[in-house]
Amino acid sequence: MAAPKVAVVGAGVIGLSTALCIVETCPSSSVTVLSDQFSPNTTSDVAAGMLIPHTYPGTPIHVQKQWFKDTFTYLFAISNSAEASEAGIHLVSGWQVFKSTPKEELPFWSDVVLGFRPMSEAELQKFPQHRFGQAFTTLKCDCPPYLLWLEKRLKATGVQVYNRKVADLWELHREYDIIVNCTGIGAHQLVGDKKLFPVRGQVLQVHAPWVKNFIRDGDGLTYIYPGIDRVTLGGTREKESWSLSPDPGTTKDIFDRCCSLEASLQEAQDIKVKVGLRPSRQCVRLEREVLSQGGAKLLVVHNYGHGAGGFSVHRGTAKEAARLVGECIVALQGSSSRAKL
Amino acid sequence: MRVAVIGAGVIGLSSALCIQEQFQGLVPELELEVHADRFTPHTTSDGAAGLWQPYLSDRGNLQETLWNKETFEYLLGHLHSPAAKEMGLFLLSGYNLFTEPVPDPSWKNIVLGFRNLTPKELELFPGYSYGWFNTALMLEGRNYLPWLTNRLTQRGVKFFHKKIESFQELFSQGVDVVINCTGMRSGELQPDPELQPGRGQIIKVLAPWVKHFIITHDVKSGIYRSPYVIPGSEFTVLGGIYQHGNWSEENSAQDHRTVWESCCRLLPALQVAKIVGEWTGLRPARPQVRLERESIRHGNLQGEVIHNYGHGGFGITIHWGCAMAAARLFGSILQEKRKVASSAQPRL
Repeated sequence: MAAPKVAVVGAGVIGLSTALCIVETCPSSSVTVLSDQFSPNTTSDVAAGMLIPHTYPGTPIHVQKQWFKDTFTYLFAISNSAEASEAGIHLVSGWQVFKSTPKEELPFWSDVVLGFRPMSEAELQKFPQHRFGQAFTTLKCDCPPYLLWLEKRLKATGVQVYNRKVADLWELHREYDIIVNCTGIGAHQLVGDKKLFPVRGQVLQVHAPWVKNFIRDGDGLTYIYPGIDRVTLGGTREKESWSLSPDPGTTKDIFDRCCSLEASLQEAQDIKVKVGLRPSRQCVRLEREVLSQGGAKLLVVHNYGHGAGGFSVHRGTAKEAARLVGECIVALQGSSSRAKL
Repeated sequence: MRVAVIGAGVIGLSSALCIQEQFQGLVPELELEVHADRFTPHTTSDGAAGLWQPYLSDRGNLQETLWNKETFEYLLGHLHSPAAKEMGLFLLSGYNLFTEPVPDPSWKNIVLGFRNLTPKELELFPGYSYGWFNTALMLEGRNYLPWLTNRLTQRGVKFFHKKIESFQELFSQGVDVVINCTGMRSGELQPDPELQPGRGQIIKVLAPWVKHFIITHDVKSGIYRSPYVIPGSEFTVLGGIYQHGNWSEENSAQDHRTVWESCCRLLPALQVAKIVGEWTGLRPARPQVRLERESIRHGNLQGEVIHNYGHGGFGITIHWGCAMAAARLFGSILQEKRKVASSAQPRL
C-alpha cells in the first residue's frame, strides 16, 4: 500500500511530541499535524513545564515511572546539548516543602530526578511554616520555545502542519488512514469523553530574574518555577471549571501565597496572568480504537487526558502512541493485502 | 572625631557602614567619611560576579573561615528582608567540579545542602569525575554598592571623590582614624610586597536558561584558572583566568578565547549566548588578609590606621566578617582615646 497517512490532531506538547515520535518510529508513514490552536495559545503554553510528575490513580505506578524516565532521559540529553536554549530545556534545582510530613516521603520518581534528598534543618529554616522538605534538581521545558522547537524539527522531516478546526474525527476519514487524537481538553467535545474534565489553573508569569531556584508546596497549589525569561507563580486546581478568564481575586491570592514562600517576589515586575484547563482524567487515555460508521472504519489512536502531568510524561506517552500507530499500520497492511486476494 | 575610610569597594563601604551602625549612637561626635577615586560601578567589586564562595583551602587562616561564616550568616539573615532584591542578594545553587576526589572544603557546613555529586549528575560534565552541589548566595556588587552608598548617605556619611596620596594627607586635615580599604592599590599608600594582583578577565553574556553556578577546578593549576559560569540577575559571567603578578587592566584577546572556548566546552548551549561585555579586574591577592591596626607618626602626633585589604578573589565572601573585625579594632582605638582623655582630667 502507499505510505500510510497519519493525521495528528492537536499541537500542544502531546500532539507535537507524538507526531515527532511517529516520524521517528514509522518512517514509512506520512504525518500531518492539524490544530486550531498553536503556541502561544495552547494549554501547554500556560504550564510551567516542570518535570515533577502528577500521579494518575488509574495507571500502574511502574508504567507512569517509565513514561517519566523516558521523558527525563530524552530532555536531559537535549539540555546537555548545543540546542538546549533553542529548545527551552534547562536544569533547575529547588525545594518541595510540606507543612506536615507526607505519608510517602519517597515519591516514585525520586530516583529519576537528580540529587533527590531530604532538606537539611538549615534549609528548612527558610520556610518557617513548613516542617519537611525535599531538595532535588529537575528539568524545565519552557513554552513557547519547546513547542516551536518541536514544530521546527517536524517541518524539517517534511511533516505538514495545518491550522484547521476538526469538529468530528470522521471529517478526516477520506484524507487519512490513521487519526491520532491529541486534543487534550478538546476531546471532551470531539469524542464526547465524559471521563475527561477540566481542572482550571491560573498562573502569573512575572519578571524576577534573581529567582533561580524552584519552590513548590507539596500540596501542589503554590509554586514558584523560574523559566528562561519569566518566573511562573501558581496556582489553582479548580475542578470542573471551564472559565478561561483570569480572576483578579485569584491573582492576588496566588501572589500573596508565593510571596510568603519567597519574600523577594514582592519586587516582581510585569505580571502577566494566564489560565489553562488541565485535561484531567483518572488515567491518560492511551489506546487504539476502531470507529465504525456505515461500512467505513476509522483507525484512531488516543493520547489525551494528561491532566497536571503532561510535560512530565509527554515523551513516554508519545512513544507508546507511536507504537500503537505502528500496530495500526500493520493492521492496515494486513487488511489491504487481504483485499488483494 | 573624624574617621576616614579610604576606598569605596565592598570592603570600604561595608567597613564604613559597620562602624556607623555600631558607634554613631555611642559617639555623637563621630564624623565618618569615605574618600576614593573610584566609586560604583567602577570598582573591582562591581566587576566580580558576586558569588559567595571561599577558596578550596583556607591556607591555614582559620580566622578567615570564621569571617566567611559570619558573612554568610549575616547575608542569609537579610534574604527575607524587603531590601534583598535592592541589595542584589539571592540564593543560587550550583556545582563545583573536579577531575579527581578532593577533601571537603572548610565551608561545607556554612553553605546550604552541601553534598557530593551523583554519577548521573556527573554525566552532565564530561571530563569531570567528582564534585559538589550546594546552595550559596549571590551578592551582586552593582547592586550592593549603591545600596551601601544609600544607607551611608542617609546616615550622614560624607563622600569625597579624590585620590588620597598618603595617610599623612588625611591626618594633616584633622582625621583621627583612617580605615585603609584600598584593595589592589594599597601598595601606593604603604609598600606591601605580599600584595600582588591576581588578574582576572570575564565575559558577560545573556544566557538566562543557566540557573546554576558551575565552577570547575584544576587542582594543579590553582584557583580560578579553570572555566566557571555564574548566572547573575541581569547577565551570566564566564570566567577562568587568574594571572599572578599581571597588572594589566586591559582585556586580552587570548584570554577571551580561553574563557569562551573552555566555557562553551563545559556548557555547549553557551555557543548561542549573546556577548554583552567583557571586563578585567585585579584581585588584591595576599597570603592572608591584612586586618590590623597600625599607629603612624604624624609630626609629633599619632594617627591610627586600621588596614583592611588583601581579600583576593573572596572579598564579597568575607566582607562582613572583616567589617565587624575592623569595627572591633575601631572600638579599641576609641576605648584607648577615652582612657587617655579621662586620665588627662584634672583631679580636684
